[in-house]
Parts: sequence; structure tokens; C-alpha cells
Amino acid sequence: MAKPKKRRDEVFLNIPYDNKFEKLFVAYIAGISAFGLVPRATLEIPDSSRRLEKILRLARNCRYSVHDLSRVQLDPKKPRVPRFNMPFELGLCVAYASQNKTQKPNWFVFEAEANRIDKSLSDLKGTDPRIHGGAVRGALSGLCNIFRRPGRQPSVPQMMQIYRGLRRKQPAILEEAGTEDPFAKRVFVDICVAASAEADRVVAD
Amino acid sequence: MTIVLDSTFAKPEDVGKVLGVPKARVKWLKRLGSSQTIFSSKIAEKKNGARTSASAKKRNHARGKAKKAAR
Repeated sequence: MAKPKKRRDEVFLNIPYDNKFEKLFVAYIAGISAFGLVPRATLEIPDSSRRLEKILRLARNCRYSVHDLSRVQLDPKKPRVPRFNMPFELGLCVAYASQNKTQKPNWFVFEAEANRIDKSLSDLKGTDPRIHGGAVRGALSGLCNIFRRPGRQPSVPQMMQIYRGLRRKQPAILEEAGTEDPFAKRVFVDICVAASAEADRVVAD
Repeated sequence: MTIVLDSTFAKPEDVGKVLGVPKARVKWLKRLGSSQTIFSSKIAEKKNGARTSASAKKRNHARGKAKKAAR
């Protein structure tokens, strides 16, 4: 009899790529990895004319998606515009999920401030966003409320331990990648692997 | 709403495979997790008073002996 194929769930991570968000970026990777899930992000996609198609394919291949809509401010640099990428990609995921009637809701929204989303994206009324307050612990706690893994359930302190481990390793990873940009593709994939190694060590059976 | 996960817990090798990370780098990233390599002079620039891991001390000692023997 053929051996049943092992399935590993991937999570589409839709977050702003700016330096102020670096801590939460690492926190989301740590939190997702703590559940034995694989984080995926548009950082993996090189800039090209077919970028949108690739984003769609990536989002479709992920079983779950996490969207952080906390960066609604105008960019301090000119041109002073807000970033529309996050709400746009959330829209793509919502549309795709609504096509699959059999699938349970698989997209989750995070915000820094309570009730702000009612104004910034009122179409989402009735959806409770997870409020992280701009804090690492808040984001990890939100993820803990979304996912549950019987037998290997990580606690928030364990997730914090993974996060701290990653922050310690980050300089070495950046140096190896020869960049200071934490949102470079190579840095992202390396942090994901390091997070998984840390999670495998910290979250016991 | 809580999602109960029924998939297998992804190991670093699995994550590396999905994200296209070469096996050697996965190995390095796993080693990076152990406390022994955190203080490796190869990774972080060593400053005065920085700690040296036991394995690095052993390695340096062996390297010194080999140099002496070669002389």
C-alpha cells in the first residue's frame, strides 16, 4: 500500500516591509513556525512584470493567510501615500476563499488598534481582527488564539523564546546574506529555516 | 475561531525544501541554533572580552598543535 503523503501547511504572511515593522516581522515568523507551519511571503517573489500572477499563485498555495493591516499611516518619505499592498492582498485571499465554499475561513486579520479597522476598511465589519497593540507578545498571543496543534501546542512564553532566539541569530544571518535589509529574500528564507529549527527544539512533543 | 491543525509539524529540512534553501545552509542555520556557534569568530566579529565557546577553544588548540607539528 502506498504511504500517505505528509502534508505541511503553509501560511501566507501579508505584512508591511518597513524598518519600523521589523520586530513584528520576526515575531510573526517565530509564531507561525512555533505551530510547525511554513511562513510564505511576497518577499520570495522577484520584482517582475508577472508579479501579480506569482502573488496569486503563492496565496492560493497557502492553506492559511495572516494579514497585518496596522500600517495605515502615510509614508514619511515623498510621495506621501499609504501602502495599499496589504489590503489588496487580503482582498485576493478573501475572494479566493469565497470561491472555495467547502473551505472554512482561512484568513486572519491583525491590527494594532481596536476599532480602527472599522474606519480604514469598513467592508470587514463583522470580522474580528486580532489586536496586537504593536507589540511582539500581542502578535504571538493572537496567533495562539487562531491555531491549535494537538500534542505539540506552543505556549506564548515558548513563542517568545523562539522570537528571542531568532533576534540573536539575525545579525549572523544578515552578515551571511551580505545585507542590512531584514526584508531581503535570502534573509527571510534563512530566518524561516532558523525559526523552524528553534521551534523544533523549544516546542516539545 | 480556532483552527485545529492536522498537518505534520514542519522540520527545518522541510521548510528549507519549500523555500528553496540549499541543504548546506539549512545545516548551518540549524547549527546557528546551538549555543556553541553563537560566539564563533567566523560569525560575529570578536570584540575584547567576548566569550569563546568550548568547541572553538578545542578547535583552535588542535589547529595550533597541527601547526607546531608541521614546523
